[in-house]
Amino acid sequence: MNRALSLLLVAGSLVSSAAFAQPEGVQLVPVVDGGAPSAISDEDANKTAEELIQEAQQLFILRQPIDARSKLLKALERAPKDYRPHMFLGTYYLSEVAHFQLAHRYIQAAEKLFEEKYGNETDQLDPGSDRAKSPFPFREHSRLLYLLGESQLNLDDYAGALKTLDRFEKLYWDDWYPGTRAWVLMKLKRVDDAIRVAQAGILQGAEPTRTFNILGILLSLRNNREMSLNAFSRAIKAELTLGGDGQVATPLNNAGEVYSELFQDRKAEAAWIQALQMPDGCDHILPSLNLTIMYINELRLFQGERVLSDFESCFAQRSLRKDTEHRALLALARGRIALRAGDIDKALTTLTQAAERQQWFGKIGTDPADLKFASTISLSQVLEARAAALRDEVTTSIAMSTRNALESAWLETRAWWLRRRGREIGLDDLLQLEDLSIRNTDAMVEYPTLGDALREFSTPSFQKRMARMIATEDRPLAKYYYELYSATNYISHGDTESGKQALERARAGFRDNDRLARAEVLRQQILAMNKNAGLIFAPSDTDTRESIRLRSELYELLPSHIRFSDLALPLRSVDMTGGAEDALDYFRDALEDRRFEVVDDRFKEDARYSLVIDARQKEQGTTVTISIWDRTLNQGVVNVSGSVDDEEASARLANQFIEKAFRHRIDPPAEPLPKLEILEGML
Amino acid sequence: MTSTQLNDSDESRFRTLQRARMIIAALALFGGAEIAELGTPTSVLVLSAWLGVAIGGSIIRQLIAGTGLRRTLIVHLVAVCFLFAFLWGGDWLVTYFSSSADYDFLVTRIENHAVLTLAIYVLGLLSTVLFWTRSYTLTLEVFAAGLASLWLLSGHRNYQLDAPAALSDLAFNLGIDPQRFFLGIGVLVTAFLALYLFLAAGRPIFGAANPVPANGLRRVLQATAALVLFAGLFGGYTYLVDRRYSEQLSRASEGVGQSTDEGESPLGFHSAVGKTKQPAALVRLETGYEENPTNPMLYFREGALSEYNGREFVTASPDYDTDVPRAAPGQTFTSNETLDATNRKKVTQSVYLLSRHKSAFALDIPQHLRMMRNPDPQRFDMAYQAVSLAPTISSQLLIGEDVGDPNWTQSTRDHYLRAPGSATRSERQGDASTEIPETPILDSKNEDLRYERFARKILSSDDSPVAKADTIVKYLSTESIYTRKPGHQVTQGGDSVAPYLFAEEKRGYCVHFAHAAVYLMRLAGIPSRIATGYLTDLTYAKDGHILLHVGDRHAWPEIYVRGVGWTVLDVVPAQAENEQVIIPDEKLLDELMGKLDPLEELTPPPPEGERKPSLPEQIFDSVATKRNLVFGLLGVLVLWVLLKSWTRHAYRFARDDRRRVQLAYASCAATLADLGHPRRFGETRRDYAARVRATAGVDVHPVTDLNEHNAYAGTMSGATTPQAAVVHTRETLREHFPLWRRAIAFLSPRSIARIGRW
Repeated sequence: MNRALSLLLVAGSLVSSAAFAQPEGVQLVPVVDGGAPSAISDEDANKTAEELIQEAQQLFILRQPIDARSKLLKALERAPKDYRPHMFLGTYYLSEVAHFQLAHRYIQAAEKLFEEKYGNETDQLDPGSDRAKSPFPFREHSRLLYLLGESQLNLDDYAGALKTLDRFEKLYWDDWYPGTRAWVLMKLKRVDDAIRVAQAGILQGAEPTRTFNILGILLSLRNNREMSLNAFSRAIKAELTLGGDGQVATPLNNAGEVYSELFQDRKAEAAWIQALQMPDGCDHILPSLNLTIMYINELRLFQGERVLSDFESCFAQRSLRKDTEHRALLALARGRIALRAGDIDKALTTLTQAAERQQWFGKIGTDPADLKFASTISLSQVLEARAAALRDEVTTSIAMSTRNALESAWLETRAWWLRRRGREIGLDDLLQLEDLSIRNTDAMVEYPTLGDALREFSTPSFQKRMARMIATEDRPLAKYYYELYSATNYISHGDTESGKQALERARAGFRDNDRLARAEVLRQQILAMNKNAGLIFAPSDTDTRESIRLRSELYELLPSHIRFSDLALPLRSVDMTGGAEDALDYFRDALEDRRFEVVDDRFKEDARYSLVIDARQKEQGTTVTISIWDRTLNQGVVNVSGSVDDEEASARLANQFIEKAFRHRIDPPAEPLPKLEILEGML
Repeated sequence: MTSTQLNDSDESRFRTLQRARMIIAALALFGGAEIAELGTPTSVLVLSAWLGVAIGGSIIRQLIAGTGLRRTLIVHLVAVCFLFAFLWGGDWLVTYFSSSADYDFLVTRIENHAVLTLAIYVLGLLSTVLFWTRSYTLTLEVFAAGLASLWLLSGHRNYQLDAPAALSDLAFNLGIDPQRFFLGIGVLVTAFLALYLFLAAGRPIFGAANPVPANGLRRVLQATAALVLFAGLFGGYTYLVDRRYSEQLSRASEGVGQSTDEGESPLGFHSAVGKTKQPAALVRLETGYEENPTNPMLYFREGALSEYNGREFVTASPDYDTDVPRAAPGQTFTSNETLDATNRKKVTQSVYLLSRHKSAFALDIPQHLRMMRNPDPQRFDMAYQAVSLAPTISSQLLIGEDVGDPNWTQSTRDHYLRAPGSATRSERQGDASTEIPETPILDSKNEDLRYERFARKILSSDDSPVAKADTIVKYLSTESIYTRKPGHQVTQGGDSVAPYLFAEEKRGYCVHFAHAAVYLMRLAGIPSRIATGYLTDLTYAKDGHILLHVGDRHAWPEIYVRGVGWTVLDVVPAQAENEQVIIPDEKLLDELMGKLDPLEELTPPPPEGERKPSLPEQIFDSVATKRNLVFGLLGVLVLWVLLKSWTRHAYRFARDDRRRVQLAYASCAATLADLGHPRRFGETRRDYAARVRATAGVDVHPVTDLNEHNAYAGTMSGATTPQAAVVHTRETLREHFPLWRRAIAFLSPRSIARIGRW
């Protein structure tokens, strides 16, 4: 009886929920005119397939592709066995629409119909075959094979594409062939074969623009960077000869990437800026993205943001293109700029967009796993930063503090999980973290902070990998990054001595413009010192002075690193003026409890910054001005003021100040750009 | 801990519940893997969970058998040590002895997966042990499962129909309406949890001093009651919100719903809660439309609102707006409108609906509509083709043109000029005030005259009508801030446009903009109306294929230009707090394009008629009716009354004396249980009778004596009859319990829970 009752109640809940869920039925509206429905008139009703095909071709020339497509579809209906409408539709979807599945479907259908009618290359090569004796439209056949290969390539069916190229090779040769074959071989990881094919192709008169470009990429894969630049230079020259149709930006971008690998940053910058100035400069996001990543590494964050905005504006003017190809990459880059600039809300929004499942970024030659890795790692860093930001928020109630504490804990947990996922993606999908090879891959992470994301690797295996990479690395400057990663790993596992030694080596090698890397070194040094600081014994005066100096230096370089690493800015003093005692006390207590630490008198001279609070009682309330004073520059560097009449307003102002105090303020000056030898005599 | 053996019934229940828990673990892990990428293969995690549950069960058996846990603990300790030794040792071995880079992180890779697998195993094991040794674990588990499901589905709140993404993707792939899908999941989860409770509530709790369960069935009812409440709240909330589905849906679709009933408006002024990305339709242009004057934006009109009812614009009678088909998708339609085709182009569109639509929509003025063959019924709800005469002339080139149709009657003209205050204009001859106070200025019809003043303020009398309309639109575009949460007070029957137009900051969305624009245009003497439908950005089209989302729904103003017809003149706010355009998922667009096989579609369409619902839909629609609900509830009520009556009066119909005595006792005990004095587990009948007399003053000794005599002596005592004993008990009950308490006791489920166990 009890069971029956329970079952009845279950059934009741099911029925009730189902009943409530019933949507209103669709009510059909009576036909308006009451008359007999008339057929939709079709002006093409009496045309033959041949006429429709001719008209379609005209319409393509006249840039009316939708009408052309409609004509071809009608031609298909009239002549389903004719391969030509299929072929033209395949071409259209391949080159104009970039819908490769549809294109492949049409091209395959075209090929099948063609073979039914004329046979294929095997028949042509067989002297005994009847087909070999009949007229054979070689030109159309070669075009079909070309289209088939291209569609397979675009669908990442490299093995299929190679087979198609083998078929093509039996009967034909064309100037596009060596470049395409080399590309396919490269995708199949047969780089040496690809180089041979490309080189042979050049000698045979292959299309120089594409072939030299591909050759340059292949040579850079083999670390033959000088020759790679040479090849790109030839590609640029060939593109320039094409005038307005030339796509100069592509080899320029690639050359920039090679310069970047060689740590010739100014040349890389020059190459990318030159690429962006070309007519096809915003056809691809890569030059802008590469430039932005470089600017992030040099902490020229406002410039980086401008590059992305310029790209978007340029792209928007080309109304036929959509931004879905690069939306995720733009979001990723913007997110990383926002993170370094200290704008945590923007970073969280944009990086979440970058990680969203719906972002598809098209065929720009980058592995989707790279984007996933970068966005996962970035998101974990942002969540950690957000957790730190919550911890320094001035609250007005216990409920708020509790909520912040819980949210902070939750964010840390999510950040840990994302780091774990990032590790898995890096190991499982990215070939055991080949992205650690500095500036040598298509990775979209900032190398200086990547070590922090990988800190949870076990020390023996991680150090072994670092040692291996240092040993096999032929670029001296790259080695310092591996030292930085080693240091990060050591320090996070408590081996601060080994960490410090690695940091010293890294620090010695980073250049002035490697600002993000230098900031990361400083951060790790401070974290190491904090780990060393004992619970019972106070740190020594030397250590304290060193810590103050490091934190001041880090604040000058990258203020957000202080905040998001849970550090405090050392202050000489808190100077209070204005007379409104309550407000002064409030702000002093609120700020000292958080990201600001007044140092002991003994160390005053080592601290560079002071906090100045001015609170004056006025008619409309208390006007408060808070600023940070830089003793070295003898000027204020951050300033926030407002009127406060209750605790909430005071808390708001204090939070505003904390937010602003740790934001990126000014880009370092740009350096002059050198002339590029690859462009000698050209531009 | 006393040892005991599992009897047959407990053994069966033990195995059933263990299996049920394994199924739950598997479902939870597969569900979790859909929501958050776990990284480790789900099958491995499921096996690990099953192992945990199985080992937990084995531990319980050891507890029952009293063999102790030493061996189990040792095995676990050894396993954990082995695992860590393997990981640490493996890492050391690889580090020092491997020369290949491929093995550098081999152990780390294993460790990543091993940690999660181990955690799942431990969770399975601990939860199983607690489940069988602590009674409260079941409640915690059910609440955790319920809360997790709620948390999962709550992404769907506020009609964010595309959240959570994993579930809405699944719904879309299965071709199920997302709203029904989420509802279905909620009901299934509720039913499953109820079933689980039903199975588990009566389980034995091992490890207690007396492992025989106490009050097991009471727990069943308590837990079931909680779940019914949960289901009721869930269903009730859904009912309250779902009752006005199409209106409430507008909150996820820019405030623009689908109703086109005469006298009604599909527009909502409440804060729109989201711009849902649920796909609504795929439109394929069969003809190029490069001459689109609003390029790259494209308007698909579905309905028009031209009747002003004193508060807002609503759908007018069919005498007006005759250019709008008012046809359902799939209906054949041919327009009677005669249009000057000079500035128009015939554009053919194929529309493939991805969600339910009440009305067909098309570009501008459709001339023909006809149903098409559905290329993929699993994916598309319906397909139809429209041929429209779409405009090719920009509104800027119409600046000097006149407005209105000279063939209109006066009443038609008045209809298209009716606006707040227009009906009483004659009462304000000579009024040229342009002052706009904060409070409304009402005329004799209670309509706000501020609109008239506003129009007067921003317009120049020298301008042509179209120029005036253009000025209005430009003004609103400059001054408006697009936000889906304007925060206005919306009252039933109140003016929802004034808080937008007369505020310092003109915050609102398309519904506000369209209303304000049309009010001002009409007051300036320009025949105008609001059109509803979809607005899309052609930048995201591919080969003329356009993916429309529910969030693309839009309302915009239109004016009637002589010789041209109804012309779009939309407000485009310069400032926006939220994004205004939904960027379509290109992968989805590609996939849908791939489903359209032109050769299939060019075959003749099927006969015109109502869309046939699928078999599941037919079953669903026939079961889920209000009638069934009412009768279902009535049935429950009748059953309740019958059961209660049976517990109280069954002794009257007993087949023999022995049975009569038992039922008589049960009747009294049941009544007392309902009044809050149930017999406790382990309490003898004598003790119970004594307690009840002492605490409640009710005398059940006669019926108790009868029952005991009957049970032990095997004969009826001659002292009294069962009926007399029950009557005696009832009399004492009436003395000590007022009528209202006895009435409420009728609703208590206690006695029903203990049926057969007195």
